[in-house]
Amino acid sequence: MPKSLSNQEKQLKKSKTEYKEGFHMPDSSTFKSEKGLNEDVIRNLSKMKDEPKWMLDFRLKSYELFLSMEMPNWGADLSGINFDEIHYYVKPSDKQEISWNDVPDDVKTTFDRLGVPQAEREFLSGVKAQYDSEVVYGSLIKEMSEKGVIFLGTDEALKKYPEYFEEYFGKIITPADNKFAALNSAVWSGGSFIYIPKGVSITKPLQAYFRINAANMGQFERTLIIADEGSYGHYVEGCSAPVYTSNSLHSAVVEIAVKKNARFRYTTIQNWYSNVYNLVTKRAYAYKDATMEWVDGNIGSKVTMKYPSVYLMEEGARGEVLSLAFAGVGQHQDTGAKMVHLAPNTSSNIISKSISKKSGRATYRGLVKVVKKATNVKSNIVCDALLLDPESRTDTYPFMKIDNKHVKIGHEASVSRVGAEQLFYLMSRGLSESSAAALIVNGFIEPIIKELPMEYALELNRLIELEMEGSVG
Amino acid sequence: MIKIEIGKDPKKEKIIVKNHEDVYVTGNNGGNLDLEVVLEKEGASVNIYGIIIGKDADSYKIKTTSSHLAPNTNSRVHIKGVFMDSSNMDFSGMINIDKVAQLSDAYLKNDNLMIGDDCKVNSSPQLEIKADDVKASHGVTISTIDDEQMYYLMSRSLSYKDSQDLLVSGFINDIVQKL
Repeated sequence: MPKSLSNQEKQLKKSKTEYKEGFHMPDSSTFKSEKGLNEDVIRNLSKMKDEPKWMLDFRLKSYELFLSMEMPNWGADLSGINFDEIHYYVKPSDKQEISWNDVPDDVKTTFDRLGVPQAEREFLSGVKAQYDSEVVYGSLIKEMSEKGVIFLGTDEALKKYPEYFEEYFGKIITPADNKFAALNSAVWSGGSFIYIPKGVSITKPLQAYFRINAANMGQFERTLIIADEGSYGHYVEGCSAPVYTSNSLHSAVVEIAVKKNARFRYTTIQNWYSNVYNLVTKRAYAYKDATMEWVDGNIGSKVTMKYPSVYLMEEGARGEVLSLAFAGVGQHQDTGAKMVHLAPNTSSNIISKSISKKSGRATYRGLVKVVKKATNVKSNIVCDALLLDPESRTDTYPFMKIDNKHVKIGHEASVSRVGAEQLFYLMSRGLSESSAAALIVNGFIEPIIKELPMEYALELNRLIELEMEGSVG
Repeated sequence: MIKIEIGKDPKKEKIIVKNHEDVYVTGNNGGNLDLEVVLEKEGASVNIYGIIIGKDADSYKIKTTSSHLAPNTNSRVHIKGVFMDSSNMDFSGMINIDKVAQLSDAYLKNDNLMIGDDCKVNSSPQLEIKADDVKASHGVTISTIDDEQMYYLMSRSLSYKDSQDLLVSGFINDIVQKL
């Protein structure tokens, strides 16, 4: 038995305190809106943020849409969401800090425990930390700001760079897109704004960390990213929440424009506590010869519905989604990807891996659409599902809508379990049953893990091993 | 052996399989079919083979459901479609494995050859798997005739049409053999 694995196992046992991000700090917010949503909540929110009138109008119009739209009649069970029980705006402190020392103590303790400042020093070009509704801390290394890279909280960016908002905000994902996009458009707060100038490459990732602290909290961050011509960037987001008995709602909207010859990668490690409804709309426009990559890892939450999509707008654009879902007890991960080919010579690739355990349910839901004028399109989709026990469930619902004959579309999906023979083989080499099973699971998800930055790969492996403890037998 | 020809009138068929059944589906003029095979006895197995030919403005709406309700059941679905002119198809193929249907083995394949300049194909293979010790998989391909293969045949002095016919018959050959 390899020594490292036995050490790992010991560590694993030691840290087996279930959800390590489950602690919470006292709610010391400086402002908290009443439960429930109405026009006054929105007007007040917009006023506190001192927004231009067009943004207030945009919010109010979105709110109207939200009220008029039905809940989705497909996908996961959302009946547990009570829109009247949610605080839509919780302000943790009065301003965003640029020095870590100035961040309020309880917030700082939270992010210290989550290892955010340490990661910033070691691996990152810049950090944003959002606590409840607001970005409380932000930094960007000097080399990047000198090159003209902008990395701000979305509220601050709206004030400083309104020109980018007019062009893209609410255009890639309109409020009418779906009920939760409308809700986000009405009450959005926080999120990241990134602009990478022409030809600039960001070598180390930018990171945002989202944390819900207050109970019954709705977090509605709004992210807008513009990768200008020939640029490259990588953005990583992580999320967690404390253990509360009541449900929280996280409903983000992420819009990305990847311009000519640019490449952008967006990595998510979602580890919300298991009472968070995570309903997120993410979409990127990829222009001529541009590449957009989503790496989407979903480990936590009660229900996740999220289908990162790439609209391939111009010739030569390329889209990729790597999706990883782990559905443990009581969780439903309804995840997948959408590729919409709107131009000739575009290509896309989707790899989805899911693991279901106990009463967990993992669903792949995807779309590949090729319009009539999009000739010479290539798309490849692979979905693999692993079932760990007789209680678990997996579903696959891919949709292919192809209106042009000059295409090469391939889709395959398979479902399997941790094989008794594989286990027997590894155990006959001296591994315990749980470490043998963990090794098999790690091998299964390896194609996605290897795309993550090192520290995230380790963290994710650790989380999965934790989830795997005693799950086979 | 059961033969189903898709016709103008929408058809809904439910086939209960006790031991083994081979089902052959053909479509030549468009139409709707909703076909469910139910494997409700331990050890039951079913094969569904289909050839769908679309020409002119033929329109197909085809749904297959393989329901595994007993342990150790086996299903194979293979549907091949060839679409000319402005013909189109909307296909969905569900594999459903119930909690009790351990040790089942299910497979679905849908291959489509798009020839007509205005043809359209929607395909949605689906899985709902509630038992863990099973094999379940599906695959879909959608493509047109390969230019290089055409070039090869035409450089061997076959006409454009003969080359195309040869490649189409090659594409559906394995299913034709079964019929």
